[in-house]
Amino acid sequence: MAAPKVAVVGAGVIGLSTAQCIMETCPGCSITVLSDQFSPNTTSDVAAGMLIPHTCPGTPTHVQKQWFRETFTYLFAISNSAEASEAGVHLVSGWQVFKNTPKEELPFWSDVVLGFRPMSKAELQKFPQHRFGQAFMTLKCDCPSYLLWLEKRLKAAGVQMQTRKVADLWELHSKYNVVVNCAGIGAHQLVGDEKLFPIRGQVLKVHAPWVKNFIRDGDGLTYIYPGIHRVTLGGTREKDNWSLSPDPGATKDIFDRCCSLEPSLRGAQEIEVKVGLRPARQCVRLQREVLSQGGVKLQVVHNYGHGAGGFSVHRGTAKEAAHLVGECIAALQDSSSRAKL
Amino acid sequence: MRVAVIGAGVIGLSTALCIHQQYHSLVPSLDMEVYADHYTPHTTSDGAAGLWQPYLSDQGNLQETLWNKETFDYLLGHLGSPAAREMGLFLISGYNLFTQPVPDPPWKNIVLGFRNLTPKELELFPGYSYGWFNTALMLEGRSYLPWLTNRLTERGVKFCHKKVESFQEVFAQGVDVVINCTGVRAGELQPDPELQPGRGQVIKVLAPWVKHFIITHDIKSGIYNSPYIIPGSEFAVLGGIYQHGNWNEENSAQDHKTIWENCCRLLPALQNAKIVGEWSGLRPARPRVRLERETLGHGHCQAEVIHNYGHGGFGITIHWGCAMAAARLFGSILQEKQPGSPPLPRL
Repeated sequence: MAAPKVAVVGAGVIGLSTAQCIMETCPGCSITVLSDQFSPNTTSDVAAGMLIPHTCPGTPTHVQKQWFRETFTYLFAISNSAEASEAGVHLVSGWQVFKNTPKEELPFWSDVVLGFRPMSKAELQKFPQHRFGQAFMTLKCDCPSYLLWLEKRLKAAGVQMQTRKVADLWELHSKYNVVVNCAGIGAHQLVGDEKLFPIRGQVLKVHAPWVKNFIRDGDGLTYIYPGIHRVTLGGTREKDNWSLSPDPGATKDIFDRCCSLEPSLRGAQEIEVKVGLRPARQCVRLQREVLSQGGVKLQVVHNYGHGAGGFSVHRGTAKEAAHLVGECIAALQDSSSRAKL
Repeated sequence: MRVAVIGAGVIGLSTALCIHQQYHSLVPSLDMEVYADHYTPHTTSDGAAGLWQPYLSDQGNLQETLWNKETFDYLLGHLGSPAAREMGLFLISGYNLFTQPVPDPPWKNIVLGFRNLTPKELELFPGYSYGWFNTALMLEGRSYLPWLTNRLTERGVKFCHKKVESFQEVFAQGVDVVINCTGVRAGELQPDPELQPGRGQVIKVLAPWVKHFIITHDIKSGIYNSPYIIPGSEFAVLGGIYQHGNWNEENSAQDHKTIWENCCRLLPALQNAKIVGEWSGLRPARPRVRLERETLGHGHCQAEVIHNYGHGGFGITIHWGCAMAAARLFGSILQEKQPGSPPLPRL
């Protein structure tokens, strides 16, 4: 078989990082990223990009931890390099506060992030409505810088980018040997996955450069994440809401909730409202599939459904997807050499 | 009662405000004026990054540690207030890095969440094998001094742009009490061989991805002679120069090179940071802060001076504790000046 041709559908953090891992593990591959949206118009661009995992009920904890650890290690090295500012990757420390002590005081990722410890009484005084808290340092991938940096590296390595809406994976079978489905919420339509549903998130991006620490309510609804140029204030979690239009009521509610955690935000300027649809699923769909139609086969690798935790596990799932792509290529080479016999 | 505050850096303005807040209602005739040759943004305080952090050791000077604590607690109390933004006050966390283990500092329980660095964190800083992490405060002079000025102006305090040549000159105009907050140039009003300039130079850069302060320490070269990076609300301050006895306020190309190379080695991404300014200033260094009363003159014409200068590189860190102490000294002066009260023995 000549150089295997791989199509990656989707150009959010999952699509681009998966393309990058494929490029790293399969240097002979010809890779094309196809998407109707590229940065700054992907779901990833709305996300704050904080490395704080969300528990995914359908995936074993040790797997989630492995994905998170791989992602953290990868980004930690970038944050410490000369490329950090261009890649938009930086360390940020802060607090996760709870109104009621959580059942699980030590989340599975507590030994992956840095300096994890319970907050002291003195620190909790800043949050009179909260009784318990955790302090730690983690990483943030500032979008769109991170996606643009990934795109730049991919292009430099010869990866093609194509703006195109793929309505059906079979459109790609004549030109590509393997199709990687990183379509995120788009997979609902693209492969008809009824188990995939949106969890709508509205956020505010504000100018508040004096906010240097993150603050997150353990309920996951209210958070303040300082990025490079903007602070992301969140948020909402609306299951099955497909609307991408900003809701003014939610804007006010988010702002008020964040100001009650951090009063100085009242002085925040240049408030921009953004909406994204988290591609939620019982578990990430990370598996091979061989589609069949009229005697023709199509090798597919799915890598979608990361819900609220895309950034936290992106590199780990991308590596696994690349591994699956390797399996697909091996299977194709196997069958093509057998065909020659 | 006429009070003249000489000096309009963080010490002068905060002492003026503290005294006015405490005594204005008790002394209806209180008439306060600030005299200074430099006002914000041209004071030493304006050039400082504004990080609350004392030196590593207080050298047994518990008094200064208490003043530092008083200042921290005072500022922490203001954090949630609407004034915080205008004051230039916000929380910031960060690292202190060492090449060998060191004892914990006297301020470890003043700051928030003080802990040692984990081995993983130390991987970020090759060459440093030990360190601390804590949350402290930033109080940016560029905002705090105008805020203090506004509070004083609201109170009717007057500002006079002039260089005072002698205490006598001020007393001759009928001033009763002088508050001497002249910083590094206090020696021009009254010789003080213990007061020396601790020259510093800083480079201001745009590096908004840096969210933590990083202060390195080299026990051999002494405080502030090792690189530091302090992110402010608009730009980050890169520094690491402390030259005792150097009065030169011009930027030095050699010092620029030292700061730039050392800080870029600490944080490689800084190479891409845009330089937006450079500044040199003179820390008013002294073995200890001079905070005391002095009575000049004799007989019936007793002229009172309260000295409050020599805060080295920790003026912002200690300012409110000192302002309160100066206000107490002012109170004792008032006490003595009460008509009919016997002169108090000088302590």
